[in-house]
Amino acid sequence: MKRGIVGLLGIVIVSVVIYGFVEYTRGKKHLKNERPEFAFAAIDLISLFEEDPVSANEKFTDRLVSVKGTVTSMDASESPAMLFMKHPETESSIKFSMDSLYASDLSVIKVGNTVNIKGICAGGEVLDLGLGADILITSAVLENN
Amino acid sequence: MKKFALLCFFQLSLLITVRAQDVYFTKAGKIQFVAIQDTDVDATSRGALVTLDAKTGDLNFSILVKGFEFAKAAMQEKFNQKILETDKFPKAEFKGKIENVSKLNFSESRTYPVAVAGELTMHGVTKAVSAKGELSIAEGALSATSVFEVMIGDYGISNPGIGDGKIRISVDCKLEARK
Repeated sequence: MKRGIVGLLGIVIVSVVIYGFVEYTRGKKHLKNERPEFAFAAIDLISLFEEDPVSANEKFTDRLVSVKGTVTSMDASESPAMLFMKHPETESSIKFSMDSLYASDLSVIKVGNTVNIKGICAGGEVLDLGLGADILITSAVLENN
Repeated sequence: MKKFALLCFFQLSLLITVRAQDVYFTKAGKIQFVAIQDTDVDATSRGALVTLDAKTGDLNFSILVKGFEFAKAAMQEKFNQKILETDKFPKAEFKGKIENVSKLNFSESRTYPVAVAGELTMHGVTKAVSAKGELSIAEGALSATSVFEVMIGDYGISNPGIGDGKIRISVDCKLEARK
């Protein structure tokens, strides 16, 4: 009986240690095969944040969003690479912090290309100084373009 | 009367153009957040908004805190839920001034040491901070770097086991003139 309790306790301790180790070393989630909850043209997502940033933040922050638009600038000189879709007439833009696991996907993308990108919306705001809306998407990956 | 109105309009346009060129900005400033005694707390965001008014020396940056990315998912969750409580306090910002801005010549390509002082708001708490940095001017574009340290306890955050609670914040950005 005593041996059984000690054995059970041992199993519990080992399980807790294994769970703790796995949890501690768990890497970030990659979104390549995840299904987006929302899909927008870049200009439409920008409009939603420009019109009502509070409600847009409530609705989209922490959610997986897919955006289709034209790449207006990119910077892959350091990690994470950044990619921008700027509104054609204003300073508003969506910026994508790209998942470095899929950095090689970016080699085929050029400024001016129209692409679909999905990632987690970290929020957005409307800036002073006429700098427009600024929306940040993290862990972003290219969808099959 | 019509000529006078036209003249006023041109002068106003000129004034707005000059003022716009005094403002430099980027929406892709790099900010790193590192706990000095805990190597797991090491996060970077390249999504900071940074603005600099060359006339007044006003230097501001703001960042959506959920934009910080960690190598380990558990650390990122702890950072968002227990350390900076990003659902409640989604934004961190610094509002300050380059103290020696009058000594900088923005039309000359060179690097200046700068002293910055202002207020950092994080986790809903605002505290005075000061830092030294460098500002490089080259062909109308600016690069700015600065590193400063804060105690996380000063911002209403009870230390969730990240060493002594001292955090190093590094800012590194390239700014372009606002057209």
